[in-house]
Amino acid sequence: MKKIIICCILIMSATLYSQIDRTKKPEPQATPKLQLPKIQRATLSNGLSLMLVEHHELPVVYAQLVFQTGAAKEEKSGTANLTAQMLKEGTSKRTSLQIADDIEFIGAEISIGSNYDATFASLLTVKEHLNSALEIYSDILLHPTFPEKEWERVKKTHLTGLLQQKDNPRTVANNVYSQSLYGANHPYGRPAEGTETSVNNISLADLQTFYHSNYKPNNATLIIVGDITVKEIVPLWEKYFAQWKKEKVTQPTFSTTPTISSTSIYLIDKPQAAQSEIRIGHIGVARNNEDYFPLVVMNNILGGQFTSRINLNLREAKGYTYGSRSGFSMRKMAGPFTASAAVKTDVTDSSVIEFMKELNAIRNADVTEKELSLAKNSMVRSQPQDFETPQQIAGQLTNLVLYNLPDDYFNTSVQKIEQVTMADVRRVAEKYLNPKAMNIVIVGDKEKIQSGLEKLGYGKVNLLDTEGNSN
Amino acid sequence: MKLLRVAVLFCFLTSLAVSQLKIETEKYTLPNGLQVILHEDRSVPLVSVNVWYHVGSGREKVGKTGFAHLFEHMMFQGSQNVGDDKHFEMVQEAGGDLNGSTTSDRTNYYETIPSQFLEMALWLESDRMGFLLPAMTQEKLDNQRDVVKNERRQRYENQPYGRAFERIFALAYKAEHPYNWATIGSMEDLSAASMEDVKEFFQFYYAPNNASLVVAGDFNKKQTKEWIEKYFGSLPKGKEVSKPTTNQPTLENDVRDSMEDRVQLPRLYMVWHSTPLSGKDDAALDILANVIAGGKNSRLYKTLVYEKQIAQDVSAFQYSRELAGLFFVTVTAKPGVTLSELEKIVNEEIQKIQNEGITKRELERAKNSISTSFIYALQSIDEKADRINNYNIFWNDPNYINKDNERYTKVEAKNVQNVAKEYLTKGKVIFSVVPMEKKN
Repeated sequence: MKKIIICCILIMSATLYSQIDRTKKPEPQATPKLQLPKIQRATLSNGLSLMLVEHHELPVVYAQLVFQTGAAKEEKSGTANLTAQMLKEGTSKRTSLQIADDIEFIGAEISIGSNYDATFASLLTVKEHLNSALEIYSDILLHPTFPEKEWERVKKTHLTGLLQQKDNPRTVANNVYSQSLYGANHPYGRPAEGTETSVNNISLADLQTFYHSNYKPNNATLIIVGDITVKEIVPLWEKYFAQWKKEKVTQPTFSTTPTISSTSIYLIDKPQAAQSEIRIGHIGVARNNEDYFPLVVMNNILGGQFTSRINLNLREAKGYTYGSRSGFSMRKMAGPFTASAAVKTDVTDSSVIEFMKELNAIRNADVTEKELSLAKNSMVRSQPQDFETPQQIAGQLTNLVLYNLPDDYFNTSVQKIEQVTMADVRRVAEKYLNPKAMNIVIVGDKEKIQSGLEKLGYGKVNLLDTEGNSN
Repeated sequence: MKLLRVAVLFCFLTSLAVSQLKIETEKYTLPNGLQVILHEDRSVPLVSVNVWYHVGSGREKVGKTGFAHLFEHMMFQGSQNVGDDKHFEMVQEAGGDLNGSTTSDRTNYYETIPSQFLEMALWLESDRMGFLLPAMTQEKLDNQRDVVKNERRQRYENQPYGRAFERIFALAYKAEHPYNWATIGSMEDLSAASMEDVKEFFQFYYAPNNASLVVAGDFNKKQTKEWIEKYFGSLPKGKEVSKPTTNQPTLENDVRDSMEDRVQLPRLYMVWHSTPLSGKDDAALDILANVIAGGKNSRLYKTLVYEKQIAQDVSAFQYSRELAGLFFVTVTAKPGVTLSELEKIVNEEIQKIQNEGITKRELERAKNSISTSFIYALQSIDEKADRINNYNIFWNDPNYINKDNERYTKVEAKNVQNVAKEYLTKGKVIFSVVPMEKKN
């Protein structure tokens, strides 16, 4: 009886459902025009150039100074990073604790940090507090005193942090992988946070030198996005940054990188690890590469998004991992190309096989029409997402500043993506991916994975410690 | 004197910024019980479709832990009219972002897409709300079970200190309390999940009457209401799902335990039972957490990290959930420092607050940090949509997004001292993670 009732209900609801056709995916409406942010420019009295985008949705202002030099310029790795940390540790009129108190009291956020190519000093504040926030921000940037007492603490904390990184297989894999590609003498081969040895060698004088030779208005661009106009910001800025003067700034030089002649495996033992962290690849390309657009389309198909080949294979078909991907880290100079995943220990060798299969496949045959249009549509249509919040807009402008892209870059990029052909994708895969000369770096349980890895045909597995030294 | 006036001016201005904030929402309920909330924001041609199902790991049964989250994965595997693996593909081809997440109390799904694809997003969400089961297979379940086990390995087992929270939950809550286990569940229970479980869970908890749909961003209201009616209106109402009732336990006495992990530094967790999200002291406890460990001038950071330099990091937070809350204080020792030394100082600092209270400046600094970070979070449309759903599900009022800050502005220094006395004097869990072979 009960069954019959259920049947009736099912039939009734089936009738109801049939009133609309759910089998067809709804077509999109007309594409609305994305109003690309209007970039306004000005030059301040000390030569600092300003780029401003008005964004009046919320009473929030985001400011970012982008300096053209970062960790790639340091002699002892960790110098740029620690210099940035020390700016908030004391000024001529505020102690370390006062700086933190004043910032938090108005609910502002100030962060200063460096990557290889650049140093960023950013300020996020509600508009009512812009005046006070800029006063603190300028105090930190122009009048740091690098107190000895704070340096001892910061250094100790930083060294302990580096010690803790040994616990994290992801960080170990990333650092050893970079070092294996570039060597410890090239800045991209060293961690920007430094190592125990390098940080122990850094003195307060090193930080002061780095500060005085890089934090200059002629080495920087000021990007401002938010509920503000050029007319409002210029007098405020001039008031707080009047004393900031130009000085000569040198750009870093890069030593040569080792060449990889054949693909080999490097293993860092982590006994009883639940997973293996895998990194595969070689040195990639610089951001100003002429094939930028074909390369990002190619990588999008290979491992750049959820539905890319690498993830659909290793995660969705095989269930080896929670997620796998590939990407080019494009910098002022050629950064690494990396395919990566954390995989279950007992499928470590099988995962390497699948990665290599995909890295070869994208060179050996054309991608399909469908893959190409999926990648291109996805990239073109996601453009509005890059310009939603003040921080995102500032991030886009930062790319213009760091890689010398023209102001109309965002207007032309859509067209350039659309122009990428199947032949382009094949050509750049062949040209920029070389599975015969890649480093495969794995952090995992040696006892369980070494013998499987030695059967893959890449020769003997090279054992390294967490610092990347042979053992 | 001048300083004082500036301070007063500051807090007045900050609350002004938040009080000026007005997020307009329109809420209505379809005959099948689906709650719908619309919020227009035309600043960028983007729209966020955000669906909350009022179910999480807190509804799981003993022996079936981790199921709500495993089920969330199944929702991305295609439904009757969408096709295997097509859900991701369609959203990505539209240039959108998508994801889902599971907590103990709710499961959310969202896509943020260019506005011309809104109808498609509503079709996608309605198809899996109504027609997931016809597309479900044992093979898909087995595959996602492997993916989720890898998620557990990556985020808990192979993560330094990654298993501490599930141990603490098990110590704080009795076996029959739904917060006794972590959302990720156990490997054994994940292995045991069956197709029958998938069907039952879907039919009971994924009905429109247990869900809330937010559309936020750039859309035409009239057209959108028609689409919502078209795609969701005909989905049948499910059984009544009873609202969970709060269940705030307490501990008579302190409970101590520890575990070994592959870490360099020992870490101490001190955890008190506090109040659920709806508790009257929730906001005061948030402020107390900020005073204890939010920023360089907070009590514990200043003492342990800045002055004595015996801790590498400290944190404190009021972890309030729908049924119950816990107040956490966490400290990581510097090399060579014992956890008992840290525990003693944590106790002393908390006693100071209990005996002497907090300063005006501490109170205002905490309030200002909380209110501005609230504004900063509202910059992105998907965060705004998710918060609207949060207020709708847990406060039964999407418009509470405009009022929540009042809970904090009303808190006085005395209240913060009182909650420190009321909650941080009772029985607690004292848990430590120590480096292998150094159990102490």
